[in-house]
Amino acid sequence: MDEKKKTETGFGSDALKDPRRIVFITKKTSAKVKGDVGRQAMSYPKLILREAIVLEILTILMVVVALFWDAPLEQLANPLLTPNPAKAPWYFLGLQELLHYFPPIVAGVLIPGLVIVALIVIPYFHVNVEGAPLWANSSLRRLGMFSVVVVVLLIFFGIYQAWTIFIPTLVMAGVAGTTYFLPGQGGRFGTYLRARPLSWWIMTWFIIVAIILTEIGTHFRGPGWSWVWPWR
Amino acid sequence: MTSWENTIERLRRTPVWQSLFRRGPARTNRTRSVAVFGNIFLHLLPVKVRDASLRVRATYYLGSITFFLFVILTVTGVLLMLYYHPAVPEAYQDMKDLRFVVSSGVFLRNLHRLAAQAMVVFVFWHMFHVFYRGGYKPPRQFNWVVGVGLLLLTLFLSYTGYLLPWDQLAFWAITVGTNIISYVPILGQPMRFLLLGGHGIGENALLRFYVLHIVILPLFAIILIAVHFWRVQKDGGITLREEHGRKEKD
Amino acid sequence: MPAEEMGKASRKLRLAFAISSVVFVAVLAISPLKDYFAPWRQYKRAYARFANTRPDTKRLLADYHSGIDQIWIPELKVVDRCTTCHQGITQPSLMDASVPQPFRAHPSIPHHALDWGCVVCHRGQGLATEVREAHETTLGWEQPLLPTHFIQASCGVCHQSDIPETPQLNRGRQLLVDLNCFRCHRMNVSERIYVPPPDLSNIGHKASREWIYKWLKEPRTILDSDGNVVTNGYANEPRMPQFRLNDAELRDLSAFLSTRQNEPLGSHQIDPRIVAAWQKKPDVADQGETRFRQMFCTTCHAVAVTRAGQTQLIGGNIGPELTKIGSKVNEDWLIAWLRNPQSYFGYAQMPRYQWSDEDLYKVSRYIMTRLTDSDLLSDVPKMDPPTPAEIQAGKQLFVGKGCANCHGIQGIKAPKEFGPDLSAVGSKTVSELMFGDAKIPHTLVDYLRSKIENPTSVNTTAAMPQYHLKKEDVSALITALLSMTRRPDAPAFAKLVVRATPSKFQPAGQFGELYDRYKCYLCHQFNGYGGTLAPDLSFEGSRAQKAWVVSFLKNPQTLRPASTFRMPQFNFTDAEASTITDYLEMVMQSPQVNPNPDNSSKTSPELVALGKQLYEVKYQCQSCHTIGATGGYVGPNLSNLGSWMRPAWIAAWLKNPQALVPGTIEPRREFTDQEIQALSAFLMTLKQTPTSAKAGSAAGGSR
Repeated sequence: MDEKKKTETGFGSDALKDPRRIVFITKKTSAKVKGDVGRQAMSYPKLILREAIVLEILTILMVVVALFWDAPLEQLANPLLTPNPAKAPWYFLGLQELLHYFPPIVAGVLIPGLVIVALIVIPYFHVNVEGAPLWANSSLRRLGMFSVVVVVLLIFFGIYQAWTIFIPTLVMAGVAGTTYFLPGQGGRFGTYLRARPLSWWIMTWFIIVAIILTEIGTHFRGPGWSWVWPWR
Repeated sequence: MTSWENTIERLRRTPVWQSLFRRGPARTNRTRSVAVFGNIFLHLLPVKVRDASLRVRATYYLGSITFFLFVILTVTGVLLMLYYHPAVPEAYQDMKDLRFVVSSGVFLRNLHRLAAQAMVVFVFWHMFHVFYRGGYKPPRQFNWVVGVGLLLLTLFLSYTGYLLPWDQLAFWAITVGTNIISYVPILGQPMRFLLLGGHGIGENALLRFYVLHIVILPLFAIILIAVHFWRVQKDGGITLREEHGRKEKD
Repeated sequence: MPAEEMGKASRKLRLAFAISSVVFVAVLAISPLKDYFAPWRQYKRAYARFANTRPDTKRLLADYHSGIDQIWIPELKVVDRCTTCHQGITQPSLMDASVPQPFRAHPSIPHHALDWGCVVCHRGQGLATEVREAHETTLGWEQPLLPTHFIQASCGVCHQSDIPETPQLNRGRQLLVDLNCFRCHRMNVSERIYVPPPDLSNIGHKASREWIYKWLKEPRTILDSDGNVVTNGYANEPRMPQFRLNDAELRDLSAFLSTRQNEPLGSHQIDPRIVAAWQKKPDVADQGETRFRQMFCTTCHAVAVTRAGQTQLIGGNIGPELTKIGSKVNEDWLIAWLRNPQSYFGYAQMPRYQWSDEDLYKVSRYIMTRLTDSDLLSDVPKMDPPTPAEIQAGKQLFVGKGCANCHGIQGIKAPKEFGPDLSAVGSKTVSELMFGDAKIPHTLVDYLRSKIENPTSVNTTAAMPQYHLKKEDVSALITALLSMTRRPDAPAFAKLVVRATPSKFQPAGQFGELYDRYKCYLCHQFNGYGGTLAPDLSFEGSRAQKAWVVSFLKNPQTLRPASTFRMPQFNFTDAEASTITDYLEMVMQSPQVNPNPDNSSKTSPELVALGKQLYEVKYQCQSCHTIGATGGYVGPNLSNLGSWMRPAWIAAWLKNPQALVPGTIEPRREFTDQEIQALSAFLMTLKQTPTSAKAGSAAGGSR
């Protein structure tokens, strides 16, 4: 009987007897209620064929490269013979490069942990769904906060002498700040940059730093993780 | 009708063909729909897609390429398993045999290694692309999280595979990597012990990495890939540039 | 119909699919194709073509098949695929140098290639079926093919004692000991005759600070443009290497060493009457020289002699060269030393002679006045008496520079593990080596060569001193070093190792004391142990007659007058000579020779005549052997054989010389028993009276 009471909201629960149409429109589901999806195509064959072609071209490219490039194979593993430097797989070299600068707990646990957590929780912070530009309202308060965060980060990198992170961070922050102070300048590129939201700036900064660190770890590090020039 | 098409037509009428494919030729939109949702593999895809999402610039096929690399890796990986013993030093001997004795063995290994590296690149690229398109925003939050899970799985798959040749490169790369784990406070050492099956990298670690690489991680990956595809369809297709673009003020 | 239009794939798309599908299938076929044209398959086909041009095609192709060949020996963990390309390795008909590689047969060696595989000796990567991978250093294999020049190193991996087939390896092993390599580096060296570097606990008695300074600075020989020795007392290359020391270090070290006078010098004084009698005589040094020569000091010690403007070293190299020794040592020390070398240091190699005071005085005068060089120390800076600070610094240098590893000084401990462990240096991979800035190929052989020739070439801070070695000695050292490898992980290999036999011959009792005192083993071999300068005495008891041995010991210089190296005159007492002779007769017997022959009586003039005829006509022994004044010089002189050798030995020797002395060049003739009897009877008649011992007989020259 309790269940029945719960559904008694003034409408009968039998849809055949009392057909009703209820629509809740909220701000957050706005995308779903857009009526027009535009022109459509059948997946079969239009999508399937394209995917098949992609698969074939991909395989062709991979096979051709695999015919002429040999996967590296070094000597039998020897725990007594440590190569100098011992390097992780390339996709972890950015991390290994961080270890060079920061204490292991920071570089090995905190930073990668934070990155993963950040990636997971991004969609659940409904900040700026619309993708409003960073300086949309030219608010000084926002500039202040932005500057404080950047300065704190720079100090942090500076303390640990992580110049390979410090410099790209400084450049990125500089570019972002410049777009605030120079509205309407810089041509199409300037306009493009000014239209970017904060999330774009953070992600781009992350990617650039990650690529730089990985590249340095791969090619610019020699014995004892010292700096070497790959062309020497 | 050419004789070629006649032959196809006759083939389609044979009882064997008809038992395999219930539907007739996909000449109407209905039969084309059936071709997709009547197929266990294709039904993860939508029956219809927006024209705009077929454009190359909509996705650059980054997701598809990542998936196809996974397929190539599965095929080559299964073939490589035929020649591989997860034991010391047989594992390394097997690498030598693959290179010097097995027909096309070196090719298989090259392809597997290459595709593995490419998959890491493409999974990142795919993620960044989706991010810039705003694909993590509602209603696709969950699929983004699934994607992050697939990213981690890809990294772990690649990483566990790295040890299997049991050469210096493998051994020391894994040493460096697993040392990072031990920096985790309190749980670090136990986690490393669990992963390696011992305090150092030895035969136990090789066996564990092998099982992770060929059974556990791929199983999770397949499940998550299926969910990922399914949710693309259920969450309204791929994210188009227009969807989350900046809207001019009314 | 627009609704159906949305499901129609365009022509372009379908064409793209068709083209990509065709390419896709084509590309998948490349790898099998590449496999079919693999280089090793081409070698196999080339071998088949080559075999068809040879007369013995059928035999060459008896085991031929199209797949990979391999030598598989599971218990040794050998999987060698070398024979995939080196197809003719076991075909005797392909031994010829005109056969193109890789098909040539292996030169004949005591082992069969198929029992061992190839890599065990030649190194390289046996698993590989590609040319570069199999032979060279690659990413996946750092043990490249061993250059053939050093191949004897591989024999030494199992054969830990010397074998005659590996002279280069044996020389290298000897050098590792002689040059004292093992005193700084850990390595397994087999036991052999070894002269330890001198103990320096009492060096202060022996040499001056100036001389020590000079010696430390440049122990090596440096000749001026006229070929004169300018930097030290020796014309021979000394064993002491050159350390890179600066002036301050030289001062400190020489200060420290010149103050080492741990124990008082032996207190023997030459009878003052003798000194008084000889002191004034102008020819005392000349008489000393005569005695020096009569005692055959030059058998062990060389002296530079200038004749007709040509300076020449005359003498042996067992002991140090003495040309300028008078400028080095103090006379008191010299006399104490000559009387009893072992009292200066216990392991001194020099025998303890029976000196008369008179001889001792004459010889020491000769040494101190004639064997000198007034210019020797002319470029040594003036030095004040050593200060405590210098001595202290010198002590630290003595340990820090590694001196203490070779030279003992009482109260100073040599540092352990001073140099790198070399016990497995032959297995070192390129990535384990530090090449520094050296412009040399990155291989182990080149590394070793560079390091030995100039230790600082690969490591500017190297502690290792500079040796000056001949090219072939460097090669020998490299060979010996390469033979010291890690044990292969197959347990079956351990069984194959031929361990070095502990061969030290150390007799006990009275003879043992004499043996130690007179250092017989320095020149003679006893049961495989000892030097090679003089005849092997292992079977001397079976060979020589007792009376001959006694007379030889008492007066050795009557023999072998043509040789520079003669047995020194030890001045044995009668008791000593008889102890030695008894021991030789009792112990040094050959099992092949009956010690108590009963057929010695079987001699008669007829038999002797028959023997003489056999000797001169049938077998023409005189083409090698001399009797009296006629005959050849290849074999020993037989003029005095009847008093020298035992008849049983002669008979056994004639029967089978190689059974008694393996490797002797004496041909084995199939003499009948009667011929042996006749020849023995004839040879035993060959006797010389002591007065006619001009030509002498080459004692034991049968080797």
